[in-house]
Amino acid sequence: MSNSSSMPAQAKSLKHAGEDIWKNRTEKVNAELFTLTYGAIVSQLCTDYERNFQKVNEQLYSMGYNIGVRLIEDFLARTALPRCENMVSTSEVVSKCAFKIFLNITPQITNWSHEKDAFSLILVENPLSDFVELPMDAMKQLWYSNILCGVLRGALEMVQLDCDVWFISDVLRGDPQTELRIKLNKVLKDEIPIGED
Amino acid sequence: MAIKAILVINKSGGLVYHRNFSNEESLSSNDYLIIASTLHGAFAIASQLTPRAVQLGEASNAVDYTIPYIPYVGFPRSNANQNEKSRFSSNNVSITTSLGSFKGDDYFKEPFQSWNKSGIRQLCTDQFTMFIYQTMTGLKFIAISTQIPANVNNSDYPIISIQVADNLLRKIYCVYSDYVMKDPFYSMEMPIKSELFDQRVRQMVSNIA
Amino acid sequence: MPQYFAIIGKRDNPVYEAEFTAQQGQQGQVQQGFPQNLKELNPFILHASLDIIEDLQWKTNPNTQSGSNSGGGGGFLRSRNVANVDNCYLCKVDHFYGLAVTAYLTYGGMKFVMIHGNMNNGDVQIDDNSVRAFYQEVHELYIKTLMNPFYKINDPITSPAFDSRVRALARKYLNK
Repeated sequence: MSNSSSMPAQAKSLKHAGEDIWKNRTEKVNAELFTLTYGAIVSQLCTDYERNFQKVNEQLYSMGYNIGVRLIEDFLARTALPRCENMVSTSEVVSKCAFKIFLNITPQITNWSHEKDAFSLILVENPLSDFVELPMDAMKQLWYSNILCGVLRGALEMVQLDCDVWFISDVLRGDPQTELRIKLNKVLKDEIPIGED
Repeated sequence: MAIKAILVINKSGGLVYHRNFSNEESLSSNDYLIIASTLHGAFAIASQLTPRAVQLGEASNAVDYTIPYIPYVGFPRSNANQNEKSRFSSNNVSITTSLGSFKGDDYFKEPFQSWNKSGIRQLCTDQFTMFIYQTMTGLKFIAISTQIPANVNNSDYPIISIQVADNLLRKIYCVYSDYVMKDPFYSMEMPIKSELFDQRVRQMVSNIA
Repeated sequence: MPQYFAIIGKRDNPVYEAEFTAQQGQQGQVQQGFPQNLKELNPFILHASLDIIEDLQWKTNPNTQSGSNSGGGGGFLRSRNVANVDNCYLCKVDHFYGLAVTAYLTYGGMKFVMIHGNMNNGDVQIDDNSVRAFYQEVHELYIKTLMNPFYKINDPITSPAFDSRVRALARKYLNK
């Protein structure tokens, strides 16, 4: 009872915190510069890997991972949020705070697994892929925004959540929506810093 | 609260940054490494002790770990007196204006929760006081101060200073997230060689009266 | 009346071409479009006018030369003439046996060129306002195409989305 009534309130304050940090506490960069920079990286990778899109996906993922393990410190320094007790609150923090602060979007959280250990984020808008049209040969293979999966994976791992993150669909491929899946493998209990209790 | 040294210890107990602010350099780098790993261990042992100790004392189960926000800790305008301020602004004019990727006139403006709940947060001895701020990723930011709790009768004094220290150390964490984590040539868990980070830390510490 | 529209790159290479007819995709297309022999000639007619466009490209804008405040009049780029609202649109630049050719230059030097055909062997009437609006919106679409990281400048535009949007614009502005 108390749990169900406290959840919306918590979610609301997270939303508020995310918006406040985005609006008042964070310096911005030009969105088009950002989008074009990312686009240049992806298209250069496609050329460098001779259009082996599987390799490009992997490379984007590992670049994202390296960003994630660093970016989490920025996120925590900014928010100082307490540890999430379950994946439900993790999903709220990821969507309402993390995506809000770094990309100014709030993906929808849906498709919870039965055990509440996996969920989907629906990216209604994706700042990475503005202006993008995939070339025909990449349509079936390239996950254009795969860097996001790596970022989430790296960031969650640093707060001791071992997760798999992957894309299920992408509007760039002609799918009706862009869906990103996050599945918790296990909580790395041994690595939780001593003293946190 | 004169701060004598700032240390940063990574999650496996390795010293990644140390800066001594007193004039005489009394310790070798090796000594610092030993301090860091010893502290890492002592911190872990202390956290084993805490639950028992809490049970001994009749602390209620609802401990409040909230740290109040103290405005402009580490900034020239607040804690520093006029003399300090003018000396500071003449030296480092350019740096004071920008907070890196942080916008506004302070890194954060709200009270926050401490992640360090059962470990050592403050260590007082006859010679020095030590403050420890641990992040969710296991990093430890440590400030060593020459302040001694001589005036124990004035009970407000030590409480304020741990709060000031937590505010300061979280700000150093903010600086770390900008200048260390976003340095593309920094490899994780390795010693911090960033001149910019060092500069910011020195500047903040020099502003603590 | 039908039109033949093309985007020509900086090295005079074709980047995009399309033929617009009054009734797109319907059975009467042959009557509405260019006659077959003209269809084949269209690219030649269009390329023949490129010389004129290039001459115009580096001239001060004739529309503002008589203007009193000739602060921008000395500039060699047409776009420097702030007073001139048509600084990209060159109006009718050429004609060929009753066909008219209009052109539009982007700031990057891409040439948008269009042949306006005529069904009834009368004079071609060009409504500058709607043709200009057409060019301007195609220009915007072209900029969006440039923003696509997979598109390289001066490559042919193969995107079906671009094609269908251009055709929609043609229906909106040109085939009233």
